[in-house]
Amino acid sequence: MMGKKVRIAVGCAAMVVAGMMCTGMNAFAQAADATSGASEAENSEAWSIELTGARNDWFAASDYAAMKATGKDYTEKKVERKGEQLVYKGLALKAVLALVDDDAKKREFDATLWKKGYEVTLTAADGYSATFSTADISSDALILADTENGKPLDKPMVVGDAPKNLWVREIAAIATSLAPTKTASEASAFSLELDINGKKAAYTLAELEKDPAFIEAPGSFTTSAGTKYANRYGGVKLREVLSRYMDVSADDSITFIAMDGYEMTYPGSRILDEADGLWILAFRMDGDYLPKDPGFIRTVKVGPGTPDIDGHLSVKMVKRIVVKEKDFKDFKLTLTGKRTETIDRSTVQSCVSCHREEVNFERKGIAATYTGFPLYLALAYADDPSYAPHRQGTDILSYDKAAAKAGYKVEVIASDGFKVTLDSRDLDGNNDIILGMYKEGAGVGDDEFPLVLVWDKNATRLPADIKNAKKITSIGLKF
Amino acid sequence: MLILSILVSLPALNGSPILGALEVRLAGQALPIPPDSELRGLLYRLSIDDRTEQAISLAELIPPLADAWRVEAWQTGNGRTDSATKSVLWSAGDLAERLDRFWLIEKPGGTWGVVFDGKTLDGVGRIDVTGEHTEERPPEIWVSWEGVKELKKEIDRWSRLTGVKAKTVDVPDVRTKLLSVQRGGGRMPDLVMIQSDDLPALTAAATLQALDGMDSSSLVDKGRNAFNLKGRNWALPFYFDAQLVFYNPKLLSTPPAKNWDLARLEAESRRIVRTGRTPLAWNAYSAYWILPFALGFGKQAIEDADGMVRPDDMGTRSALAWLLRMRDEGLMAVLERDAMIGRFASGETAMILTGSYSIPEFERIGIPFGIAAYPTVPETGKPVAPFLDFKGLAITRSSRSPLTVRRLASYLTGPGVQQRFTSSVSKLPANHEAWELVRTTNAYFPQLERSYEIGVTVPATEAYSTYKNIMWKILRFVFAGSMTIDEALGEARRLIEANLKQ
Repeated sequence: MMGKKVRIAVGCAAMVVAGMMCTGMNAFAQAADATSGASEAENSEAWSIELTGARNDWFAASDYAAMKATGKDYTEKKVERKGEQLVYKGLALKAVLALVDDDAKKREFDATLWKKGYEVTLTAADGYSATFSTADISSDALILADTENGKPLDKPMVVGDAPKNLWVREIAAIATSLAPTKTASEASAFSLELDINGKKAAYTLAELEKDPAFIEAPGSFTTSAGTKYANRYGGVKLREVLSRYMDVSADDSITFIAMDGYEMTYPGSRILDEADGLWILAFRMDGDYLPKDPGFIRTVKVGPGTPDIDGHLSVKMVKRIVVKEKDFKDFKLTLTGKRTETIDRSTVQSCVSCHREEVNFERKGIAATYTGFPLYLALAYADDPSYAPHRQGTDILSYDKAAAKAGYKVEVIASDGFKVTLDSRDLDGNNDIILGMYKEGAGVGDDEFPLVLVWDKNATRLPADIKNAKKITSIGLKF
Repeated sequence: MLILSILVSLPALNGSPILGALEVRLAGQALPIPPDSELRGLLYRLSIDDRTEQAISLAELIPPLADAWRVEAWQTGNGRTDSATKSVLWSAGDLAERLDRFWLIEKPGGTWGVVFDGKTLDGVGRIDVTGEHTEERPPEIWVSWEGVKELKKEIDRWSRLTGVKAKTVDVPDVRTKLLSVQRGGGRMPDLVMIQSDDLPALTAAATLQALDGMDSSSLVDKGRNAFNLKGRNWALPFYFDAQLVFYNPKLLSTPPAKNWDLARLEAESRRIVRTGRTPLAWNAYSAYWILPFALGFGKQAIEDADGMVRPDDMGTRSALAWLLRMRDEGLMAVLERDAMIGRFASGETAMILTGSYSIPEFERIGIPFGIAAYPTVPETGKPVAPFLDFKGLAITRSSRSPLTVRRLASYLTGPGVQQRFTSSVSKLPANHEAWELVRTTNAYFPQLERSYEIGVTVPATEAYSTYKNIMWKILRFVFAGSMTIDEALGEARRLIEANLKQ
């Protein structure tokens, strides 16, 4: 890097003397032909400054000399330091920033951008760094000085009509917030996909930000461990966006598919319930863009009263929204044992997303692929009096493995009263026996809805008396 | 330019001067400072010239300065501040960075003395400081881990005395949030608490500014090393925790001596197991708890000369063989944290290994316990070397208040805060002077001091992170008996090298 950097500088210096202006790689390309004995020149550079902005570059001693020779941006600052009057001479800092304040290799300083405001971080050789917003000080305030009271400085210093913390000796790097952030780079390539009753559309974040449905308002969610997070979110109103393609009704099902494959379905009634606020597709939080995780888009509810939702209802990393009208059927699954818990469709779907298992089931004329989650994980809701999934810190496992190994009966009960009784020892850690929610990629049919007990035909640990159960609505643990 | 004048009036009372109200003037204007009664309460113990004094630094009583180049202390007589009879002058360009070492000392009879740069003056009535404000916005500080309440109290104390309205935020996972905010282009805090193994990620993302220019000579070497990466200092060590043996005093025949060894530990364990209890338990699945034993059994260092962390050395083999034997003979149970703590609390297990961070928690819950530094391995004569887990104070690269938070960081790592904070949370200070001063106020000092002597810092390298993650999985196979020690360590080495090549 240094070799290229220096040869650019030497080339530029030579060409400026000849009345030619150059920067960056174009100069390097020309200088490479013009310069011989580069290694000798490389060692001659006294210093160089790393510049980061809309483009990145190095600014070396010879670049400085070349710009100084034009006399255009070389100026003087009289300041008081430690009770003494000092005179510094140097290049206007703005002339150096002009090299990186846009992505073109030109030297025009963008005064409008400076006034609008971006951050500049000045870093010294010893690591000291100070940051200012250009909107807070005049573009003429600071210089990159090479002399102090007429004596040359070994390395340039930033100094001028600005707070003393911005007077940085032995400057080693100048970075601006014009450099695209990692999030911004990733986000610029992101688009939200909609598939609404067969109609397809896509929006970039830039498009969503300009959308009339964009709002900013406070919202909050509470995790299952009880921690509440309240922030100001910016995003587009979900109902308003969907309404461009459909009439949202209470019976519709709106499925959010995340970048990592996680899925969650909202009933239309949830989106229509605007008593305490509006559901939005949020991509800003407290003024900043959300990073890829939990963004770029997440669902939250916002409103003047800072509505609070359960954390698991806020879908993170939303990539795609699929709507099929009027096929949403909610259900409840009740688990009893040392404690009782009733979970809804969204929670079961969340279990499937996080602990997804697919089995090839064959029995009595049925041969199908079912998707769901291992039955033994559901036992965690009722296997001890204190802990249930996501109700405590991650250091405590809600599933009581010791109890399962000790053995208790598990009754899987259908809505018509049909019951299958199993032993927890056969279920413990067994991923081949699942509560299935999907059959061949779609929701199970009415004859099986909402959940079925199925297993993989090649399961290695299968209880001898296991039976297929459909329409499961409750599970009882008998200790 | 500002001239700060600290005026200590000494009115005569029955012929004896008393410590009077302290007046601070800024550009001729008096600044509000605590009344005398409160100021006395702010003094703390300090060892100066082998004497223990009650003192406070000048930096704690004035706003943070960008520059200071002249300090003059004046003696006064009979309470008259306008008739100074003698003064001492300090003149240097770097005084702003060093006023945290300018001590105001309470002298007999309630008078003030000052000590700085080898010069002293007693009977001081006024101090003039010539300097310039930092002109920075109020800083935001992110704090975490144990003792947040106590730390906030210290920052509030500094804010109140210096007039800087610092905002302190409790952030459970500083590294993740810092990187997330930076990635999103959000507003960064100015000062953050980090731990040493945060450094690779934070320096790679250019999140922090190097603190090479800050004087850290009063801080302990192992702490400074913990935050040094590639030759640069990235944080000031603030405090540290050490791995310790926690024991139930009712279940041990005698408390472990300072220089106890594994033979004594084993003998005690054999006695305890006959009572039906489990003598020992800890999470031996973790490299964090295995490496200290490997070092005790002869591993030369955690990192080899080339920076790699290799698992298949003789020290690690011997350590694992010893641990397996202890487990197989029923003297030790391999338990993860919750189970280990639960059994220790119930009196079922006699000794566990955990960090000094457990001390306040056990005291609060009321679990009977004693602590001991790690024992020595008789075969090698080397101690099982506890990990020292340092927490430090780092400044973000994009800070708008870099000078203000440098002054704050100096205050927090100074002897006053270090004494108060670490004693209240049973940790050891990172400051040499405070180290000696807490010797009598921290009940666990001897064991913690011994742990520091024999301890090693957690490496802040990618190689260690990779080693730790792979060993976490491999050690389970060893304890499950599905791999021999040699097979497991050979496979671990292959995986570590493959991961680091990626």
